[in-house]
Amino acid sequence: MINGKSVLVVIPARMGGYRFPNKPLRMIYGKEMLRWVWEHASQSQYADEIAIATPNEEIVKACEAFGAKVILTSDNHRRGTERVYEAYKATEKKWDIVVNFQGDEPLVTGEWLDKAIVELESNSDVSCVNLYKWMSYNESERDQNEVKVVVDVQSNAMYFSRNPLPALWLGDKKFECRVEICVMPMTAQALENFVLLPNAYYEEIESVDMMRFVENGLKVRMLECTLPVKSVDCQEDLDEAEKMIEAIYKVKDK
Amino acid sequence: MANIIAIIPARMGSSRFPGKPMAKILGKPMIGHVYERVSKSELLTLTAVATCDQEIADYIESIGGTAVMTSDTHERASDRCAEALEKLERANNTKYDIIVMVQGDEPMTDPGMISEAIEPMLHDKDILVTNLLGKIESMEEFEDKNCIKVVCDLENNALYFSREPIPTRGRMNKIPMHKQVCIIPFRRDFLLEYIQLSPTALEIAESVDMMRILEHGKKVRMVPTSYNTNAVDTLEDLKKVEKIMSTL
Repeated sequence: MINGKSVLVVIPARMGGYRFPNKPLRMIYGKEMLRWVWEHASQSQYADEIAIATPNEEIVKACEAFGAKVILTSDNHRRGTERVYEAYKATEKKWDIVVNFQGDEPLVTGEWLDKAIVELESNSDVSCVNLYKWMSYNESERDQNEVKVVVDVQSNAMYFSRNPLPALWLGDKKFECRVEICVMPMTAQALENFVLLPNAYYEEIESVDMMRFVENGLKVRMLECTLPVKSVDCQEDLDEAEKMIEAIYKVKDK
Repeated sequence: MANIIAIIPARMGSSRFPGKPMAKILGKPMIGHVYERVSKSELLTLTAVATCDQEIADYIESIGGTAVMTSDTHERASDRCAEALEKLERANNTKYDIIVMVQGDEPMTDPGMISEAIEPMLHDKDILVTNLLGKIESMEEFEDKNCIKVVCDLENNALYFSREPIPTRGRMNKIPMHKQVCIIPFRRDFLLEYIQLSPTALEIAESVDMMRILEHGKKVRMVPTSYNTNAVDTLEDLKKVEKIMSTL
């Protein structure tokens, strides 16, 4: 609960495509990636319930083994947020805030999830909050898995792109890019709207859920995450995430 | 009837094409082509060139046009326009309603494009500024940093302007590719408000005036144009346009 408002966290996860099969259940420093995400979400002060949403029986079994609540969802969703919506409805409870916490963000802590929730709760004109981090232009250009975002003076998202933004203009100015971290608290109303709103053009082209809000004129607030994090889309990412987690927990475990 | 004027900002010192406004197309300076074509619009009560260069002002006056001398310290064309607007209002002791900023880099500007850009403002009081929206016809143009790409929301308000090719290619077979065409009507008070807004990070990064408006959370309505457009940013562009115009 935050200011009397109830908070549901949904972690959508699926076994994934050919690019990196079995992704959510890959091991990182002795635990499944999905378990790291779930444990981090469980540290939240505001989350009243945390559920993993998946269409895969194998993931259901793994989640039950480590004690997570899991909701079996359809295999037909085209967007992660649609899966989150199905899980939200399946709880059959009334929620004020729903968080879409992607299962490939094993380094985002409960503390940072809470900061995102606070940002949403303190701005009544905002439909959804995303965390973001900075990335060098060169790395941003190389990695099309990372979603770049440009923001206005209030830090509301203007556009999300697979291309690096802003442009490298005349070759004499270099910028760092803001990169989306998929920890996304939204009002329950915004989630209800998401499934009712028309599919948007750039949502499809860039393959970014948030564009549906942006193209329909709803505000998505970006909040900088200063904690070093790593989203996992391939083996290299996984290796790097493991190193980062190991560096944190080796000290703690001693 | 709304009192509508056009202001064409122009300067010699462009880093990419020095002396561009006075570069000749079919024997006539480019700014002359733009001036003559714009002033044919029946919607306009006045067309003026705003410049910090005496050479340009002298030329415009020599063809019977109106020129306004402005400061040479303006970073953005919109700032130059606002200064010219204030000077014209003082000189003519009148207040204009809509100021159409026409960039001097479209020598084939058609008066019909002015009508297209203004049209939505005549019906909707909430629209403060519009731009024409052109179709990008080739990948070469899409990748050209001089060509400013635009993405819009479902109501055709601009979301973002970029020198980068956006949206991203590769995920879908066909993507919409649109560019900004610099016929830009402002409501008077909004143009004056614009110059009071502080310059913004993405405006500077992309070197696009309109970004200041978007970053301050205001809307720019994009109006699809039915005209073909040929902006001149380089000497090569100029040769191309000259060839097209010589056949007309």
